[in-house]
Amino acid sequence: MPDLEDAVQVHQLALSNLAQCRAAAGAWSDEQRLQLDRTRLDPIATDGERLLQALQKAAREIAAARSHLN
Amino acid sequence: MGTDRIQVTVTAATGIQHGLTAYERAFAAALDQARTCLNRAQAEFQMAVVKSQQQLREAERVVEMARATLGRCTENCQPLVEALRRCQAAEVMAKMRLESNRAARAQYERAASDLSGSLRTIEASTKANLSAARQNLLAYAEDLSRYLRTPTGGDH
Repeated sequence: MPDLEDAVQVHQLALSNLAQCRAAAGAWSDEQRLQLDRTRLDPIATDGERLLQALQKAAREIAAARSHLN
Repeated sequence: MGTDRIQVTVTAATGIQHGLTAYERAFAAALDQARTCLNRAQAEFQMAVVKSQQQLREAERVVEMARATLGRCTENCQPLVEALRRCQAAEVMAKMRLESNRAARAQYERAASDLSGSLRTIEASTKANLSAARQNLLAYAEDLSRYLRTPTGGDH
């Protein structure tokens, strides 16, 4: 049965791919790119990190709850 | 901006566009998976509580039967007294099991509620930013194309 750890892995990979794609597009460097990074891509990455942390926290808490099941 | 420079920029912007599309797909998959996990876990915790409630009811019924049997006993009742004690001990264990499972379910519900809230907030924010980023990229690509179509645009 898939658990939250699988979702964590899927999302970790997605974040890593997004970071690589941004780095690979480093040749584009002008005001539009700075604006795109600042207003859109950085917030997407920040939200992605928040999601990762929320998934990891929930995975730990649910595993702890599961350990109390009888 | 020269044609080569524009070409490099267009290639890079297209790369980001593809990266965002892939991220959007993976992001949605992670959210779906997380929600599926929460639903399954909810069923698992609920089932554990229901099962231990049934076990407690059965233990209570067995105690009542043992008590009734002992009540009808007139001589050599010690084995029935022992049997009642064992049934009562099993009933105490069943109560403890039910309490433990209820506490585990409550712990799960807190975690699930926190995560569901985070998923909703982050999903809305990310979708809005992805959509806006795509529009920004499109608008920029159109600017570049327009520039290339101008008489001097492609000559620098």
